[in-house]
Amino acid sequence: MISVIFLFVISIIAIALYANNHTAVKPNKNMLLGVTLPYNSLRDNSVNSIVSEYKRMYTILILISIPLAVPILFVGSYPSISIIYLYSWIGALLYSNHKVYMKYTQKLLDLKRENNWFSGKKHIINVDTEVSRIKDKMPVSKLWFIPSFIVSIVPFAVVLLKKDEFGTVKLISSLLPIALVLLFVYLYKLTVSQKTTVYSEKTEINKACNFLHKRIWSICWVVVAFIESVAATILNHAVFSEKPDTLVPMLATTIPAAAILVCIIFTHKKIQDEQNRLLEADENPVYTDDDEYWQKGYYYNPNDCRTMVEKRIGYGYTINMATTKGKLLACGIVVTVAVLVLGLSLLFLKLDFSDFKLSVDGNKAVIDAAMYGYRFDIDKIEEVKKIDSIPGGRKTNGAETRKYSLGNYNLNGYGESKLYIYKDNPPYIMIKLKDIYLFINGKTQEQTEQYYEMLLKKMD
Amino acid sequence: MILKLDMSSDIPIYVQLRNQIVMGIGRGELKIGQGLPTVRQMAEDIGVNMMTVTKAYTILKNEGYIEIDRRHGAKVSPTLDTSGEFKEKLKSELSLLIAESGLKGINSKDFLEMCSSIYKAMNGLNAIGGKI
Repeated sequence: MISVIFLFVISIIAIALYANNHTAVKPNKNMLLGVTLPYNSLRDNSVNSIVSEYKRMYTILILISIPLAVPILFVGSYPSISIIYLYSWIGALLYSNHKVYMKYTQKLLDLKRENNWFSGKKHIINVDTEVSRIKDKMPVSKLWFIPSFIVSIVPFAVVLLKKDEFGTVKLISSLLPIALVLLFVYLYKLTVSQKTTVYSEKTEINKACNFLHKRIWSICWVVVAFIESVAATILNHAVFSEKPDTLVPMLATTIPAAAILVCIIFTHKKIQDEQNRLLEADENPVYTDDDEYWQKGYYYNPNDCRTMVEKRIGYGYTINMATTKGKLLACGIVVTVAVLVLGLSLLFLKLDFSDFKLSVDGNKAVIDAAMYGYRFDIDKIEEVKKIDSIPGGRKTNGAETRKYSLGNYNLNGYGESKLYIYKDNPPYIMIKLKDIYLFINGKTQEQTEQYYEMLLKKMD
Repeated sequence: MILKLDMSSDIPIYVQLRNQIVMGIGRGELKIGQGLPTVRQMAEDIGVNMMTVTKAYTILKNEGYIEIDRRHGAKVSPTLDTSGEFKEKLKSELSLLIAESGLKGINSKDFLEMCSSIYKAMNGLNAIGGKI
C-alpha cells in the first residue's frame, strides 16, 4: 500500500519535471531555454545544438534518477528510512536538474552575447493602453468558483451538524477542502492582476494574445478548483466514514492530482500554440530583453514592484527576489520546507526506532512512545486482561507499519482505544480505564509477561 | 497606443507617462474620448506603485488633457488654453530652444521648417482643430 503511494509520488515528480523542462526547449514566442533571441536566430544551428544537448542531458538525468528511486519502494520494516531517502532523492534531483539548466542557459546567453543578438531594448516596459484598459474583462467571472465553494463546504457543514462527534482533527480536516479552493482563488487573482504583455505594435494582436492567456488560465483555475473540491470532499468523507477502506482515499488523491497536472499542462500548451499561431502572421513584433533579470536562475528585478511573476520555464508563478515581500516569502518557504522535512524525518525515525515502554512510578503508570506517550493513575484501572488478538477497527490517528501499531484507534467491541503493540507477538495486555482502553505488549513475550506481573502487583 | 517606459532613464516614470500620453494624443494614437486604463490597471501593467500613476494622471488632468471620471476611469479630453497661461509658458520655453538652436548654427528658416513638418505629422491635432 505505502509502496504504491511512493511509486505514485516518484512518477508524478519525474513526469512533472520532464514536462517542466520540456517547456524550455520549445520556442515560446522568441524565447528558448529562458533566453530571448531575435526570431530569425531561433533556428540557428548553434542554438539548436545547445538546445538538443540540454534536452539529452535532462532526459538522461531523469532516466538515471528513476532506478535510483527504486529502493524507496522496498519499504521493509522501517518506512522512516524510505521517507528520508525519498526526501533526499527529490532534493538531489531538483538540484541537479537546476544545475543542468543553468549550464545550458548560460551557454546560450554566451552565444547570444558573442553574436550580438540583442532582441529589443533593455529596461523598457511596454504597455498597450487599450489592452490594459479592458484587462479586467478578459478572465471569466470569479462567480464560477461558487460551485466549488458549495461542494467544499459540505464536510464542514456535516461536522457542524453532527455535534456529537465533534473533534479537533475532524474540524480541521473538514476545513481543508475550503482552504484548497481558496488557494485556487488566489491563483486566479494572480492571473487576473498579472501584467498584460505587448507582443506587437498592433493593438488587435495584443488584445487577442492577452485575452487568450487570461481567459484560458482563469477557466483552468475554476475547473481545477472544482475537481479539487469534489476530490477533497470525497476524501474527507472516505477517511471519516464508518467503514473506511483504503481504495477510495487512494483514488481520491491520485486521480485528481493527475487530472490537475494534465489540466495545467494542457492549458499552458493551448495558450502557447494559439499565441504562436497569431504572432507568426504579425509583421511588427515588439521585443523586450529582460534576460538580465533572470540570469541568476531566479527573477530579480528591482524595477518591478510585483511580488509574483509568471515563470519563464515551466508552469505557474515565481517570486521577484528584488522586493522585500518576495525575500520574506522566499525565506518563509525555505524555512517551512526545511522544518517540515527535518521535523517529519526526525518524527518518523523516532516512531520507527524508539520502543514502547511501560513503567510505574509510584501511583502513576507511564507509557513511553513517540508522539503518543500516555500516563494514568494505577487506581483508575478497572480491569487488566491478557488477550491473544487485537480486534479489528479503524485508526483515528496514529502510525502503523508492518512491525507495530501506535496511536488512537476505534476498535470493534471496545470503542476508543490507544494501541502500543508490536504486531504478531501475542499476548497483548488490555487495560481498561474509565473511558478508554489501552493495549500494550513488549517486544518479547517475556517483556509482556513482566509488564503484566508489574501491573497486577501494583494494583493489589 | 503603446507606451514605452524606460526604467533606467533619469526621467521619472510619472513624467515619462505624462509626456507619452500627451504625445499619443498629439499623434492621434489616442483619440478624443478614448478611455485610458484605470490607475490600478496601469500600475499593475507597468509594475509600479499606484501613486506614480495617480501623479501622472493628476498632472494630465490639471493641464487639461484628460478627464477623470470616478466610475469609468480616465478619458482623453483636451481643452483649449483660454487664459493664455500656456502661451506664456510656451514663449519662455521656445526662447530657450531658439537661443540654443541659433547658437548651434540652425538658422531661422530651418528652424521654422522643422517646426512646421513636426506640426504636420501630428495627426491628432487636426482632429482637435476640426472639432472645436
